[in-house]
Amino acid sequence: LEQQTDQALIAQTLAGDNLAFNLLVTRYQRAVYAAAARILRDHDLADEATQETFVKAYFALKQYDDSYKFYTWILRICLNLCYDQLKKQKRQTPLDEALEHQGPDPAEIFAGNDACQRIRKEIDKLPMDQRLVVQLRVDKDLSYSEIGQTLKIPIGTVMSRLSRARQTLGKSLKEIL
Amino acid sequence: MKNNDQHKFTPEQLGAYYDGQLGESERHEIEWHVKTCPRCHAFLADLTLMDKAVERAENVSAPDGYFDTFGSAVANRIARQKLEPQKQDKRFGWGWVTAAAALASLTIILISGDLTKQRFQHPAPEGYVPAPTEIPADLKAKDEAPSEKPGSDKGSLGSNPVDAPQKIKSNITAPGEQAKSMQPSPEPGLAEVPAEKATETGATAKAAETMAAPPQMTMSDISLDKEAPTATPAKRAKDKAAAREAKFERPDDFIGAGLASAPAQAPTQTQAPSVAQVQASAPAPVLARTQASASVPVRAKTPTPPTVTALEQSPAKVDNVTVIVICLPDGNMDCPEPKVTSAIRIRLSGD
Repeated sequence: LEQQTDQALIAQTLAGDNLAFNLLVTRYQRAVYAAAARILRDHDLADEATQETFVKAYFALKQYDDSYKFYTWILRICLNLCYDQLKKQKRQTPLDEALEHQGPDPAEIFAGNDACQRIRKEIDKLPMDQRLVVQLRVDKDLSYSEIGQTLKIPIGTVMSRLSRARQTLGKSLKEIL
Repeated sequence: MKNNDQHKFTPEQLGAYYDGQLGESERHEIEWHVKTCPRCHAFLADLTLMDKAVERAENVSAPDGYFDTFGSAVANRIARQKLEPQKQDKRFGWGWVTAAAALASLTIILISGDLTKQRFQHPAPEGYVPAPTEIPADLKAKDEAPSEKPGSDKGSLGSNPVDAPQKIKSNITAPGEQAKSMQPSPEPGLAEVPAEKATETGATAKAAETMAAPPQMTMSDISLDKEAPTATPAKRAKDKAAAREAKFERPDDFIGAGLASAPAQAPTQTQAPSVAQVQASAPAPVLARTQASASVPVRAKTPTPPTVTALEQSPAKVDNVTVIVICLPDGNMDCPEPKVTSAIRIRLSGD
């Protein structure tokens, strides 16, 4: 069962086999959690978003278009949830707190030294469209095409956004690289 | 995509090359170029360095044991949500019921408000000048000047009764009885009733017969030995009964509303009569009789409304002045019958 393709597991899930869906969860939980954690910079929020992603995917499985990879489909659900969460945070965070803390402390889930923290801060300063491309590209399993599928943008747009983000990061991180 | 200067390839292409996203031929081309171009070589070196740093900084490590229970947590959540839809549907259903009820209430309010507006605001014909509701003092000396004044205030009339001089004997035909013979309905609410409705009742047809040939008022029409003014309750009751017969029931206090709103309305009927028409045809008999009540027989034959002098010279206290505007065909013989556009009763009752 573990060696079955995503499409086969989806078909079995739709047939009522919840064990098949559990395998799908196990297959993609780390990647989805990592993507959520990179965007939200907080374990609890990432945990909530990851769980909700799989729950939503389960109930929306009939609408899944198998012409796309299951991973990009589920990643899109996750990104939408994260985006909603960020908007909610932006509304709820008072200005004073926002000035004091640029975001939740990522120390607990992100390894590295001060340089890594600085890099994350610079990434967080990027426009959201560029930031998402950079953070999705960290996951080397995603090709430009799949990033484009996930964000629903053409490959050329993926290339240009990634290039602009890298140029910006190159300038801002010149002194520490 | 290729630059003509030193850099043969764009940063996008070099980045795609670094990410392994190019086709084989393009990849080979860049490989050859990078070997001979120090700037592109340095660009790729910086890109590699930065990408490694970003990858290291964005490396996520979930707490230990987190994924051991993740699958079961998701399964529990799914099981919970499978039970919740009933609750959600119920809430959703009540929400729609509430919204539908609110919408229905709003619709009723709007419709009733619109109907009320229609009732209270009857469109005035083009050029219509409202009947006088206030008696200017300067008109006392000008008997021949027309008393029609726009922007009149019905409240002033209601609270300021006009006392007629006592030197003239007070025997005036009651306006209510006059209306019976000359108008489709003496009820003041006629002003708010659409012309079509008035036509349906058949009362207008009767009025049309009367108004088609306006009666020539003479001194004989003015009976100075008839009843007293309509201030008596019995007379009012009689008026009301006549109004109910004509299906134009309105409360007494409705007069003011119609009076206040009618002149402000723009004409909506296609055959709205002009001022001349209104003056020459419609109000003539009514106003003439009103003037006759005020003992001004010469004016009885003219369409001009009663003047202040006429009212003051009336032998008795004027209780009611009824003004009815009836639209006659504007020279168009195809128009089958005249239409009552408005009727205003002004109560001038005094002591």
